[in-house]
Amino acid sequence: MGKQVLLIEDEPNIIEAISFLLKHDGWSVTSHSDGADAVDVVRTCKPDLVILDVMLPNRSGYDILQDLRGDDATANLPILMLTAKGQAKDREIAKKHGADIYMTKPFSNREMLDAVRGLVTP
Amino acid sequence: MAQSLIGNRIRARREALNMKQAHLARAVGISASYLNLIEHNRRGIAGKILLDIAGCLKTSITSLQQGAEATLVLALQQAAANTDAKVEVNRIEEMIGRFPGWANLVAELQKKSARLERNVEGLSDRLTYDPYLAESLHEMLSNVTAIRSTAAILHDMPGIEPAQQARFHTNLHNESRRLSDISQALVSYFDQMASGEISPSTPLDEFEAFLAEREYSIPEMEPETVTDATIDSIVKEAATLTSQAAKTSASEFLHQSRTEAVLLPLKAFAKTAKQVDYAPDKLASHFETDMATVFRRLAFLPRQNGAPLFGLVSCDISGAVTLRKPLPGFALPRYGAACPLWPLFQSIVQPGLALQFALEMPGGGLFRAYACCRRLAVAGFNQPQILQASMLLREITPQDDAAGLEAPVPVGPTCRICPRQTCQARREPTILATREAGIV
Repeated sequence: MGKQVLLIEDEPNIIEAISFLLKHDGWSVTSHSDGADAVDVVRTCKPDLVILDVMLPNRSGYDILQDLRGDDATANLPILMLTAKGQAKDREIAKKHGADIYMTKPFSNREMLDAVRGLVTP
Repeated sequence: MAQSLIGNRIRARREALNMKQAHLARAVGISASYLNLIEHNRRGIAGKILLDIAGCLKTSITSLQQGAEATLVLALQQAAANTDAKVEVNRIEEMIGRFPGWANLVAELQKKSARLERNVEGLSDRLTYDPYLAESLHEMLSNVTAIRSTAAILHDMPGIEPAQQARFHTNLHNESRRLSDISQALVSYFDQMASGEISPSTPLDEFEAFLAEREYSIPEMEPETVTDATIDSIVKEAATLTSQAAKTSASEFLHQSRTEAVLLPLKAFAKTAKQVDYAPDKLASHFETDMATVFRRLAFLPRQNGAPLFGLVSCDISGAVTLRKPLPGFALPRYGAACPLWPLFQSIVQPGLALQFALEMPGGGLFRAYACCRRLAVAGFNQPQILQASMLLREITPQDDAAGLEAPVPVGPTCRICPRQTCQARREPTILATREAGIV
């Protein structure tokens, strides 16, 4: 069984495509769609990598990222941020809050796979 | 403002009353030669002397200060403030006198330029902050991401299970339909913007236009029972209210007006107000209500015979203006920050305390200002205060008791067009020259 990726994203068709792509590449993928309890889900799942959307229902991805970085247990967890906001200031915010990689939608499958493999060895 | 024009008006008014210069000078306690200098625009005039002269001439300070030229002077000052070119600001009155046509042309161009700038700002704000656009674009990018990723999987990865393939095809179909709908809605939205159906003005602009159109009073709110349907109907039928934010502001204003009309019934309030000379503190005490409610009621009261005109300005704790009813002679800057010396801002640091000051504007106009700041919500521990400050304005007329008038606080409209050079609260340099006598 491959290393575990937790995908926190609220668009079901994006979840299905990314999940399929990563599973096909040998990763074990679980997903979650709500921002409110996302931090708890990360703590429970203990994934090897988190793919985190910025625009989530009930809580911003930036706030979730900040909480994860403030917790010793998840301070060094590889996190890839996904967003439809491509402005420089959004990249700055993501970087300031501790994102390892920031990807702007739409992205290619190759970019996604390279980013994930760059953060964690499968 | 427009000192030289005030001199002309004083002379014209005196002559119209067949009053001798010496008689007027004696009545206000100055020498005839000094009055002669004033009337020939060689000495400035402000404060108590202006008030006394207006009283003797049976007119108001505002009418002496504000001929048809006052608006023109302000427009030309604003035009001068918006350019780096060296402009003889201290000769504006002379320009109006000598070249009225050119002066009007410059003022018109200034107004047009300001309007266009506001449109550009409005469009820019809309593109940057419009929640509809932001949400639509975000949804569109999510659609495209799902389509691109799914299509690439189907294209690049052979041997996918038929059931999974069918699901991906369904997803593609659904996402492409959503994308089509969003695209059409966006095109329609841009078309509306281009045709002017969606105004680029700010919601506050729309709300103010709504109040101005109704001359700052809503008689429909006066009956004892006003239904929500009446309020909804007023908002719906107001052509000036195009954005949802402006409609919400108007609706909140009308609901508040309805509550105030019940708390302070028109007939009883108007009668008592007259008895106490419209003093807000006495009205608040009589009707056992808070000062801010009385301010609003006085400012937006349906016009009563003999009642003074009131202006009102409200702001939040950041100083951003949220409500404005203009009063002739007291310039309320439309955009940008106002004079920090206004009691409106002083009241923010003293919530709950009612303030009262006499204010003197640069042209010498005297106004009574009442200000207070109230909490809109009870804050918990370490929670920020949600405050609203209000300032009620009333012109001090010659009929008022000048002897009992405390020394007025010199204030201005906004630093950029305020001539008080040495004001300690100044934020930025003024574009006005300091020729205007007596103003520091």
